[in-house]
Amino acid sequence: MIDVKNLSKTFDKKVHAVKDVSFHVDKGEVISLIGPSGSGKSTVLRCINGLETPDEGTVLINGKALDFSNPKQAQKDRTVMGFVFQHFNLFANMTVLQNLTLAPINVLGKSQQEAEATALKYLERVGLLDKKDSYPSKLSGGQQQRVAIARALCMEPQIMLFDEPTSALDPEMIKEVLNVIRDLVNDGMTMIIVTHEMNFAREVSNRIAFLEDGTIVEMGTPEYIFTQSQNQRIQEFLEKVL
Amino acid sequence: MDFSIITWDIFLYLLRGAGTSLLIAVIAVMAGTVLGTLGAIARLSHNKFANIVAAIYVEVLRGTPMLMQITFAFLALPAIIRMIVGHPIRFDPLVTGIVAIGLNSGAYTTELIRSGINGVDHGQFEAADTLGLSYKQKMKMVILPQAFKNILPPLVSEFITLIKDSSLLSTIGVVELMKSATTVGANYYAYLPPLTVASCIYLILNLIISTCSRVIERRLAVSD
Ligand SMILES: Nc1ncnc2c1ncn2[C@@H]1O[C@H](COP(=O)(O)OP(=O)(O)OP(=O)(O)O)[C@@H](O)[C@H]1O
Ligand SMILES: [Mg+2]
Repeated sequence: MIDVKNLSKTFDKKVHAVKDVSFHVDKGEVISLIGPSGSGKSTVLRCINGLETPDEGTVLINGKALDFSNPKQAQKDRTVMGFVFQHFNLFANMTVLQNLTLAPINVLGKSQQEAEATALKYLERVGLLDKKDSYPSKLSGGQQQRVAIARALCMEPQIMLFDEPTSALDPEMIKEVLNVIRDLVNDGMTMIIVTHEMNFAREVSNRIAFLEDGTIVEMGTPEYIFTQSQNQRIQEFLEKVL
Repeated sequence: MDFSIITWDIFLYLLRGAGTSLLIAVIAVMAGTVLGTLGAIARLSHNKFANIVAAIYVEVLRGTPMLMQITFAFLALPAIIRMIVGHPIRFDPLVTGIVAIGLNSGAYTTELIRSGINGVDHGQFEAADTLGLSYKQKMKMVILPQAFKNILPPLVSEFITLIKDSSLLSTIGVVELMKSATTVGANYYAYLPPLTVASCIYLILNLIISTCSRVIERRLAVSD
C-alpha cells in the first residue's frame, strides 16, 4: 500500500536527515519507527505526506507516486493519509466540532449535516462527545490528542501517520491516547507510528524499523528487533530506553 | 472664555465635521486592512515579484510624511494624469484624501498583519496542510482569524491614529472636524471655544473606540 523508495532529505545543505531509506507497508500493516533522537524518524514520516519535500526518492501510495509539486494534486493525495502531531495542532480558533468538520466540508465537499454526523461518530469513539463545543485550550493534552486523532479520521483516510503522539503528554494521559490507537489497530487501519513507547510498539506493530543517522539499520518483527537482533546499536538503544 | 458662541447649530456643524472625520477613518481603515492583508500575504509569499512590489509599497508609504502623500495625491497626481490623458481632471478632495490615507494605512497594516501571521504557531499551518486545505482556505479559515486576534489591539490603535490623521485632510479643503472648528473660529474671531469642543469630540470618539475594542477582545478570548 505504501512504497517508500530511496528517500533522501538534507536540511540546510549539510544536515543529512534521511539517507536512501526504502521500505514497504502492506495494507492493514502497523509499522513503528524507533530510534534515537535526530535519527530521521519524523523526517521520513513528514516526507511521506509531503510536509517535507524529499530531495530524492519517491513515495508510492497504492502504486501511484505522490507529486507534491502540484498543489491541487497534493491536496488530493493528502486526503488519503491522516497525520497526528506530537503537539496536537488543533485549530485554536475553532471548537472541537468545527475542527472535525472543517476539512470534510471544505475539502471533501460534504454537507454540514453529513460532516457533523461523521464527527460525532468519531468523537464518541474517542470518548469525547461531551466536549464537542469546547475550545482546544479548555482540554487536557490527552483529550486534545484524541480530538486530533478523531479529526484525522473524519477524512476517512486509508492510512494513519503518527509522529510521537504521546511524547508531549503526562504519563496518566498516555494510556487514553494509546487505547484509541490500539482501537484503530484492531480495526485493521494501515499505520506508521513514530514512537518512544517501546512496549506499545512491541505490542501493536507487525514490523518495527530501527533508524539511526538517517538510515534504517534493521527492520523486522517486534520479536526479532527486541530479542533476536545481534545489532549492537539496537541492543544499546533498547537497553537505554527499556 | 465665551463658549456662548457654540450654539446648538454650531455644535451640530462640528458634529457633522466629526461624522466626516469618522467616515474618512472608517473607510481608510477598511481599505487599509484589505490592502494590509494582501500586502502581508505578498510579503510572506515565495513569489519574488509580489514580494518586492509589497516591500516597495511598504517602504515608500512609511518613509514619507502622510501630509506629503495627501498633498501629492491632491496637487501633483492630477498634473501627472493630465499629462497622460491630455485634459485636466478634477480630483474630489474627500475621495482623494480617503484614498491617500487608506494607502498609507495599508502599508502600516501590512507589517502589522505580517507580524500577526508570523505569530501563529507553525503547527496550525501544518495541520491545515495535512488535512488537504488549499492555501486560500488555510489562510482564510485558520491562520488569518488567529492573526487578527493577535493584532487586534494595535489594529484599533491604527484606527484611532487614522481618526486623528484625518485632520490632515483639512489642508486640502475637506470639511472634517478640524476644518469645521477653524472655520467656526474664523467666523467668530474666537478659536478657543470651537477648538476646545472639537478636541473633546476627538477624545470622546477615541475613548468610545478603545472601550469597544476591549469588549471585543474579551469576547474573542473565549478560545484562549
Ligand atoms: N526543518 C528542519 N530544518 C533543519 N534541520 C532539521 C529540520 N527538521 C529536522 N532537522 C534535522 O534533521 C535530523 C533528523 O530530524 P528528525 O526530526 O527527523 O529526527 P527524529 O528521529 O524525529 O528525532 P526526535 O526523536 O528527536 O523527534 C536532525 O538532525 C534534525 O536536527
Ligand atoms: Mg521526531
